[in-house]
Amino acid sequence: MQLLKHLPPDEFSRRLSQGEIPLRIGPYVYNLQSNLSGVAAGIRTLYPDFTLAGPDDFVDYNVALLSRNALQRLRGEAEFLFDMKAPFDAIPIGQAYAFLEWGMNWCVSLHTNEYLKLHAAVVSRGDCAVIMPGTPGAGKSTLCAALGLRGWRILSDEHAMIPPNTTDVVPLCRPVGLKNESIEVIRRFSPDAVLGPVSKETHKGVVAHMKADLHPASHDTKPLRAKVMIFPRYARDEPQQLSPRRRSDSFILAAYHSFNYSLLCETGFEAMKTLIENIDCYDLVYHDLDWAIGAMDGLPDVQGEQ
Amino acid sequence: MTWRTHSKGRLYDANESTVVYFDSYSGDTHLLTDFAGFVVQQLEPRPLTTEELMHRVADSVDPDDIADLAAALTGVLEELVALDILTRD
Repeated sequence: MQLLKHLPPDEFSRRLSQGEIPLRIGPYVYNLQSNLSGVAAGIRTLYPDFTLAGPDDFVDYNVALLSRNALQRLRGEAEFLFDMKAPFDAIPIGQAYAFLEWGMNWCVSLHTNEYLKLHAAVVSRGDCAVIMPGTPGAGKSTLCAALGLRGWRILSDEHAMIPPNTTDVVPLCRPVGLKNESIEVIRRFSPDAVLGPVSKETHKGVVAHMKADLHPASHDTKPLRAKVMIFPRYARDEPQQLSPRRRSDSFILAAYHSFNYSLLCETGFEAMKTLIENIDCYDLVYHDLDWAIGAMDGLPDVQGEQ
Repeated sequence: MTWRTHSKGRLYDANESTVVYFDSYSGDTHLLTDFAGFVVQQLEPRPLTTEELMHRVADSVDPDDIADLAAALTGVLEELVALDILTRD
């Protein structure tokens, strides 16, 4: 198996410009293409330990971030392409890396309806996976990044992919998206945090991504059993607490955070029911990352896991 | 008056004061009180009149839990109609 970092820089640049960087990411193969140096630098920084798929492997998602013509180059713009079609408007080149990551998220959000998909970070201690749904700004990615830097395994920063009628979560480890103040928070939290290009003035503000495959098992594709669901909420001026929440309320909130619960109809209901009735649900209000990690380390399902 | 569900839905009851109800007719998912969930369950096998429903509710609900059972049942039925889970004839 060849890792991305084993490609000589010249070969990497050539293959990336020609759309010949097929990376194994979780259960999928993403084939990447870009003619932008910032995007190339970001991929080299954040994906060096990902495996290259072979030339005969099926590619699930063909994605590209390209400045496609003279007018775009003159304007300093680029486009995200999926199967060489542009689903979004052109964006400033300075935002290209963030847009590549969002586009890669979008591929999974829009497709793969064989899973119940929640908008959630997923982390694990040993064999215990913890699902953390959250609206943007709730602090799930910051907490996810911090957990990864303290020895937890990051399974995903964006998608909890749950095969219906199981409590399994399929790993899809990709960089963690950090926004605005969270970038400095994580830089201060650990000097080990590896951050990619900083994209400014995006519709989400300043965005940078953190290398997420920090755990020895990061690239394992075997599903893990979810035992806990935590709804994190960053609140600077509120008391920190980790408190149990009712399953019925959690069902509704998790469905709200799902990309495809409604699309799946009865299958979605049964999948969510199976998940919720077999896990413990909590609210987590925090403003101190070390406190939050300590609270999660102390959960009954997590204690004793390595 | 007779009450009926549009279709057979699915219920998740975690023995809390609320239940989750999936309405197969609309595709909507509702968080209902356990009392409302009980009422819906009574109507799924077949439509019932208000009086039939009242008997079932009286047999199953602790009177200490709900002071005015008739008023509570009427209120819940109206809410379930407003949510388009039930219809009345």
